[in-house]
Amino acid sequence: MDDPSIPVSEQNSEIAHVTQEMYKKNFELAEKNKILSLLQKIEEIILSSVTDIYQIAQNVADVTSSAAEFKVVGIYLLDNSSSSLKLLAVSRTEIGEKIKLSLGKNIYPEVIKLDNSENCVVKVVSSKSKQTVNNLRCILIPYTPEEDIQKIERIYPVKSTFINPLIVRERVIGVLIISISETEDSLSGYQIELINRLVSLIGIAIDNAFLYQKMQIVNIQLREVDKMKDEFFSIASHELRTPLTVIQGNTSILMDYFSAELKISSVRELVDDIFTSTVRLIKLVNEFLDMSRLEQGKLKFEFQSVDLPKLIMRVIKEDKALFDSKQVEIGYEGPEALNVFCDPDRIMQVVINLVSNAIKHTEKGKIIIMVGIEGNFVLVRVRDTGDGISFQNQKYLFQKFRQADGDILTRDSSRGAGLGLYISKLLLERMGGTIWIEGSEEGKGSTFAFKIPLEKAG
Amino acid sequence: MAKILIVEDDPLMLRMYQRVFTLEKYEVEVAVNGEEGLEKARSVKPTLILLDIMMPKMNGLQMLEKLKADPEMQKIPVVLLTNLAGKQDAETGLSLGAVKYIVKSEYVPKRIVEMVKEIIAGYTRNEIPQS
Repeated sequence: MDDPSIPVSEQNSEIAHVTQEMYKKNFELAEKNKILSLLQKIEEIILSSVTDIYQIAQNVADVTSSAAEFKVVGIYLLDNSSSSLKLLAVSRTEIGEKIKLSLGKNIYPEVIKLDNSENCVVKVVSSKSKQTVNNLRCILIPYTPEEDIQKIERIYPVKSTFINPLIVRERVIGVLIISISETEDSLSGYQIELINRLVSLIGIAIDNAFLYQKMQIVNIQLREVDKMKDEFFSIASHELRTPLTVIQGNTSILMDYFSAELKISSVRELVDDIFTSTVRLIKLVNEFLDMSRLEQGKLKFEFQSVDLPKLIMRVIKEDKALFDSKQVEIGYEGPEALNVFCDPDRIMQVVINLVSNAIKHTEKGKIIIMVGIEGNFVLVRVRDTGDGISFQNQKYLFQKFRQADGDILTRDSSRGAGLGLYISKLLLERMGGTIWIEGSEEGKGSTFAFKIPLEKAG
Repeated sequence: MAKILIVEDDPLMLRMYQRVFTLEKYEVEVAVNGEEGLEKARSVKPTLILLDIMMPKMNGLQMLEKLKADPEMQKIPVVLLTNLAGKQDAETGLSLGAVKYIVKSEYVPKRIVEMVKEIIAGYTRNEIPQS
């Protein structure tokens, strides 16, 4: 620029021009920066841990008004269930607070009914396109009384109000309203661009919060239903047991003390059948109660050192009556004593379940219970020479209410509710063990196995 | 013959136990809650008390505590009757001085009589309590 061939005055004007351009560029850059920083702030709100829809709307309104120097920013949510727009937040600016103080409420109506088709906010919602109005009245009527409208005009003479639909996935979910005391054309390019870009982002923020809120409500409802179901289950089972115990007890009194009166064999048979059915029913109710308490985590376990072989021998002895009528032998292979760490009643329940399943499905042959050590676990196998289970049906074994055939029509209700293995599985899992079917072949028999932690040395 | 006090709020359950102990030639007294149970225990001095846990007015554990605090009645053996879900309370009952708990649905009445018989036999051998 020191070229002597160009006169100084021209040089100066050139410099002035360049400087001016630079200022302009700088200004544009600053505006772009402002837009970016505001958009970033709104993104931060979207991603923040705040999930309350009112809080999010408030944060968005506050950030928008302070960054763009809009004095009044409001956000509405469309509530389809009441066919209305509900005011979520109004920016907490000096002007906004002043109006609130004077009116005792926000500048914008709390609720705008959608059937109020003359209202310009409603028009924006139904046309899905933004609108600029220079008179607040078309928003406020019929919600704000005339004297309040005049109060607003005295405190903050609004010249332009921008009403923007918040559209997410082609659906209007709410409205963003910005009121300023200048005319529309006094807005800077930055402010106009800001509004345009803000709208979609705010829409997402509000929609997210709304969905989250809805999800939470549904979640709470679901949890309540689930709790009610569990409670119903345990109360029902509970209440069933008292009368059942009385039926069972009185039937057994008949059998134990009135045998002379029961000499007629058909009467004796009647009483026997009542007794057997009641025992079965009580067992079922107990299983239901066990299951519901296990699922609710309400079943308490008392862990202690348990001599597993001794416990198994006891089960074999007590179950003797069950297989006396069949040509079934039962044997044990393993150490004479071996301590595991678990709840003795609960492990007993598992062993009884496996042994009685084996007996149930074996007409003649042998049932062997084998015990051994595997790492830090005791491994127990129960092998029978019974019916066996086809490979495709094995997957049903540990499921609730399923018997191995897996079909509701062919279920054999004399075999129980199909809860035994499911309960055994839950019990073992709570005691740090696992249960599985080791092998089975139709017509040849099955082997079930479970693992339970060894008692820790010392 | 030994005198049994049965404290149980369910009338049919009560009648069932009353029936079986009567059939076994016991003298039977009954009460339908802890309050009544305590009164009866004081007035009839039973050999043994069969005590349900869940009852209105005064539950079994409360009655047990009062019983054990009374020098005149503290030596009467108490057998708790419970349902399966009440095992925890039954354990508490043992620490309060009950001699045994029986899960009602697990034993037929005759078995319960047998258990009571054994307990009374044990106690009379040791000559407690005096009735």
